[in-house]
Amino acid sequence: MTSPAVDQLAPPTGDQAVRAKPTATPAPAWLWVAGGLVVVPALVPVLGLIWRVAGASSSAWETLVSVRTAELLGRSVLFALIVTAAATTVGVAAAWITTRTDIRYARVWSTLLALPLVVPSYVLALSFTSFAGPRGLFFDAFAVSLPSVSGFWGAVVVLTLATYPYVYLVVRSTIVRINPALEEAARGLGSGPWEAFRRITLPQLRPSIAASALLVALYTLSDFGAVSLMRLDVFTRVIYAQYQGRLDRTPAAVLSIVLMLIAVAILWGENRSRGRSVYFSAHTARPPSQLALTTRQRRSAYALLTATVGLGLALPVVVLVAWLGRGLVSGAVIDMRWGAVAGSLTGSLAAGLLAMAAAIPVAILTIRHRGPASRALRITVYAIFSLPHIAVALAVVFFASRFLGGLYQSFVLLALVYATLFLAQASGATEAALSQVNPNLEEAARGLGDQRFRVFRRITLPLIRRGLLAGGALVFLTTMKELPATLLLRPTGFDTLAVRVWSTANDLFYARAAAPALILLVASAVPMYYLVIRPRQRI
Amino acid sequence: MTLPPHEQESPPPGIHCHAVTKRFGVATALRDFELETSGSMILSLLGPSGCGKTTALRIIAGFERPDSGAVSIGGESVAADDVFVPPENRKVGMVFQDYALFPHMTVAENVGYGAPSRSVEPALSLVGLDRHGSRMPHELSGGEQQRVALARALAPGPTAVLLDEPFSNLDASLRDRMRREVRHILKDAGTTTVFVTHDQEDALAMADVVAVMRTGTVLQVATPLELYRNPVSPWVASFVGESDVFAGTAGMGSVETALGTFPHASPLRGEVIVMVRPEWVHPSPAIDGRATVIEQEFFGHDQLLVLELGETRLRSRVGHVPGLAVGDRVDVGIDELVLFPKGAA
Repeated sequence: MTSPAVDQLAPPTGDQAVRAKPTATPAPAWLWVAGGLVVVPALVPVLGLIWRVAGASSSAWETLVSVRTAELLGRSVLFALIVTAAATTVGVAAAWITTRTDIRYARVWSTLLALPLVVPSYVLALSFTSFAGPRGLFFDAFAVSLPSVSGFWGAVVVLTLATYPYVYLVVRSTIVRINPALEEAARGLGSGPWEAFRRITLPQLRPSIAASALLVALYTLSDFGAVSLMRLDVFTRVIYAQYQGRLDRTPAAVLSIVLMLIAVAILWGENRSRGRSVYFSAHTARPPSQLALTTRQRRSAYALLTATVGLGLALPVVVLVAWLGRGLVSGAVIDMRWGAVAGSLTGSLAAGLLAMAAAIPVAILTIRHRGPASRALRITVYAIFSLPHIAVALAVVFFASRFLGGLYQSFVLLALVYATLFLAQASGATEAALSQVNPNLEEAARGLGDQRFRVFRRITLPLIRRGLLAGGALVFLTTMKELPATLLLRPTGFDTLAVRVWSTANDLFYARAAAPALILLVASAVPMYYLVIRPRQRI
Repeated sequence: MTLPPHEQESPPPGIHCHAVTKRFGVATALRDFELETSGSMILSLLGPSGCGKTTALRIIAGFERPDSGAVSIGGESVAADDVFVPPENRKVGMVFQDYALFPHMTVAENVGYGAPSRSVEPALSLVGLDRHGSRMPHELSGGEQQRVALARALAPGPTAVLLDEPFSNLDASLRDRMRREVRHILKDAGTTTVFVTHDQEDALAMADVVAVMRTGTVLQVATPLELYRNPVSPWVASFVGESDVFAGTAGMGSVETALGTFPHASPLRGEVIVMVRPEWVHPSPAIDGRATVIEQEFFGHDQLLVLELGETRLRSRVGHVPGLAVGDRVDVGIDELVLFPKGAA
């Protein structure tokens, strides 16, 4: 069994995860109420936002049809497309090289290549901007200024490095599961090794590539931290600027809706691109055959892997440590705000616990009571997860400031929004765990005289505990790194590590950003290792 | 009587493996492996799991390279010390244990993968799946998938066909049918065939010639009947069919045992091991018989009796014997027997 958390890297593909036989008994009403409530904190504000924009017709239309919006749309889409293409190329190449060729130290490479996953995109951006350029570390050390990495292509490099691990991990786990006999059969029928890969293996990787490319595209569209540090005007940065700088918030609302529509269009397109064939025809213990590379091919492979790991992992670590050292040596106050550490921990912990609680009814409904209603609930949960967070957060701001009064800018609301945004991670892991639990066990317990809730507590909960905890840990981790929703919704005086890193880096105080960024890195690395990298290696 | 000229010619060469050795790390998978087929012969490589039979098949197909020895297919050398022909140039059709049908291609696309499109229809009709060309592999039953795999292997007109445990994924009733069908299809196609199995019924029912393997070496090559009646060792005897052994002393033309004296045609003399099959053993009720019936298992068309005499136990498969029950004393008649030297394994 693979770790349930791993499945969260790829978006849900149909009802693949839902395997267990649904029970015939209908779900009690309170379960449906609970399942419905968990999506309310995001769903109601988003619907409210649409309502509001539809109402504010004239200024909304002006924003929508303006030349700037068209430009912004073009730039954002182009940006997402280029990053997706680059990340997919790097990710597939890295997965193929580490599994199917005879490069040395393949196991070490395969771990190193997954590690950039723990570096938040804005930390990566900060290390690039503070390394090259006229004020960068490189200039200070060698008195030669490297061309500064920023703007469109700078952001492309940063987001490619931040997102290729998703493609790499998903494609890698598919490659090693493909029946090696398929390529051998093709060889026996007259194909050379490259033709066999192209005609047999690549088409089987297509669903994984498509799914992870979708993830990359959504991530790129939603990314706020990296593009704002790179000063690239795409939707997220412009929405934030509009929100901050103008009294009329309708343009920010309109742009948020456009951004959400792009995300929905991508989801829809990916869903349609799936074929009818069933993949992974057989499970086999035999490892895939390995291709002997020529010396030239081997050198290119090493060059690609070294560049990827060097820029995506080594550079940020080295740069952050260097800045930290400089800050310490120059005697400047490191300015470690313990409030930010406390804020990150409490916020993430609250989000993780809330998401775990909310995941239980969602998982039970989707696994044990399959039907159109539970399907709709599941889709809603994933849609909220897929929507750009800045847009959802902005919708909550509008809604809460108008209708919720005391809750607006409260810790409770912030934690609720975190939990709802990342609920898909917790519910996905829980669903995977629950689908492994034979429903006969629950029926047996009921037959022995236990009531529904007692059965859940004594039978189901102990069996799904690991999946549930893994999901909660994933939400914890994601919340730690969260930036735009925190910026928009945090109570006055509430600070997190992510906000610290972003705001100090934005003001070019790199030495001050170093310590919180390093703490974030280490804090992300530990759970990421246990949840993603280690289970993947056991496959 | 003389044969017509075309039948006198020796059949075209098939697969020939000579002194093939293959190691994986410290483990030796094949040691001086020998194999030869010709014409449209169907040869079965029969052996327990881990005996190296699948390695032998993969070496013939070109998926593994032998450490030493030579392989030729259709008279052309494909593997030797300085020769290695990659699998795509060997003209060998392989049917994998799990069929390895390309899951993203239709049946017709699978069959047409290595062959011109005009040969797809004939190949599909050869296996009786004319109307299934547009289906996807997962929409077919296990038996149909196997036939598609066979059609795909046959469509390019290979010099030889290899099958790896062809029936292991089928349930018992389908298995019997598929053995007959696959044999007919292969005989129609007329190619030389090697198939690997650990199931003696597969081997005896489908092959013209069976090669029994153990720990990387071929122990015996014989027709199914010869293999059954004249195994070369007690191990082969017990691996192929049911057998019981007991001690005896061989003289000229007869062997003396605790069960009585029986005729034999073996050149062996002195202390020997006597091997019998259950259906070669016939008990007859006798008040002062030497053996006792200790178990009786009834199967309808026949019954299996277990007879005991001192340390010796042997099984007897016979039809109805009037008045025979557990505890009765019997005399034992033996139709046929095989002698091995004492200490043979």
